[in-house]
Amino acid sequence: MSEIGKSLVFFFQYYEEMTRLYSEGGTIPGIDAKPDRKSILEKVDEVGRAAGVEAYSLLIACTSDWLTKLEAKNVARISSPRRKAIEANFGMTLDVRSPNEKQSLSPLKRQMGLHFGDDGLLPWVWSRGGVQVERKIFGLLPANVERFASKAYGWNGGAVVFSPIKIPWETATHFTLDASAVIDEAKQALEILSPQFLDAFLNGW
Amino acid sequence: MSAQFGRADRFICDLQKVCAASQAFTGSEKFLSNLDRVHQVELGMGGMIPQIAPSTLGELDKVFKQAKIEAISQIGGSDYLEKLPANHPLRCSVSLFGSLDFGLRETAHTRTLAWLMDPFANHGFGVSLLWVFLKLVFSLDDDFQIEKAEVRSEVSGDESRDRVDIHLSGMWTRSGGKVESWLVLVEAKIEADESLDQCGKYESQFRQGIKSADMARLIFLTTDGRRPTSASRHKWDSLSFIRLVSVFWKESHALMGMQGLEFLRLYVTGVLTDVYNIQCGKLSSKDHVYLIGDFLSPGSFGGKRDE
Repeated sequence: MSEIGKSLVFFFQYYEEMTRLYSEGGTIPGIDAKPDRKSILEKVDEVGRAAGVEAYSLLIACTSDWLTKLEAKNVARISSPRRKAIEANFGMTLDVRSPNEKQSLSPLKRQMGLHFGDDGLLPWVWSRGGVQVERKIFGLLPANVERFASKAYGWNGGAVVFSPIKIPWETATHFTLDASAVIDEAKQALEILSPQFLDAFLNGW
Repeated sequence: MSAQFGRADRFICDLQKVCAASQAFTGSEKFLSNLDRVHQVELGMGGMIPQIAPSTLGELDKVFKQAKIEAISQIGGSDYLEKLPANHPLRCSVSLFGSLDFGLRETAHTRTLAWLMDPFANHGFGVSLLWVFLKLVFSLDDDFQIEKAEVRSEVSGDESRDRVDIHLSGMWTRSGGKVESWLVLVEAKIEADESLDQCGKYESQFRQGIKSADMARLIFLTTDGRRPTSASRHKWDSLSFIRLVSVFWKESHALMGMQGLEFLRLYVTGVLTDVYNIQCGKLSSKDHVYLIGDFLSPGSFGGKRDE
């Protein structure tokens, strides 16, 4: 993959408009008043759907090696990401369980993922236990790893977010951005979520 | 005897088949997931990505730029913040619940909303906020007077553990002296999704009260004003937090000097900050222009496409 999809770049260049019109099905007064409103909204939907597919494609390129490595180490049972959910949410959420844990016997306690935002890609982990548990997750990470508490991003308690993999949406001309640098940086960033980390994340406290 | 052996044999045979099938399924699911990943990375998406014509993006580019210019002008220009009164929630940087890390806690919000609308609470507002709320949800004119009201939070209509977030009931007098009973149920969602058949259960739990009231509304209160998925869609009206706090704040001129006004101001700032990520108190290049429009002029902003 050499380029990030143009629809995806467009989506994040016009994040506020696309979220409102496409993701939330809302309206914008300046567009609502237009006689060709219907055709504009059809185009918004078309671009939104294409952006979701392009987001999926980029996320797979970023996470494929990392997931294969984690699976080979067998420290955790990681759910297979659902394509439709990734396309709709512009992000990948993975349930993480101990290899021996029966899915039906206990409620989900750990998740991790990679989500698009208006400044790039955000890797994150989440544990049940609210904001108190975030300190414990911090303790599992090397001191030099930049991490943020859920509050910094307005997320639910128990989430720890890592430094964003910057995607310079605003700088793209004609909605063209190189993908390779983003993929390389994402692969590097995801090394934080190593088999050792996952082992500690599941069993370390 | 032989019949008994036959049943047991068949049971074991079926059990083995089911186990084998479920193992094969798990394996094949994993295989397909890996295959999909390899396909994505090694072969690219090919024709699977919908192709969008550059002219489509160009056209939307123009439309969005123009829409933003109009929205900025509608909220009062790029220096809109300076034009607002000094005590306006958008100019305040303190969130009521933010300091407690309760900014997204649903029960903190619903208990607060119930308290704000309770005419007997010690905020000093009397029926003011309840009146604007009823006017909003029942789409009433100004010609009604609240005679009797009870506002409770986390109420169950039966023995079950399911509790609706806010239960409001009472009587009003409308023009011509007509006395009517009313009932409103509010179910709020901030980040969580509805549980299985959640809203449907409330419809059943409170069926008697809904039927016996002269007028009843079921309100699904969310960040984006979406419809509930766990109920008969036509029975629930959707409302967004931003619309509600906008209506409350518009009433603040009538609450000057009341004990609870500062609480209301910090609560409204909290909703804007914590629930909607608006950076209150300062202008920012990342200002959510349309959300700010939803708050400042809810009549012209904030609708849903299918309305």
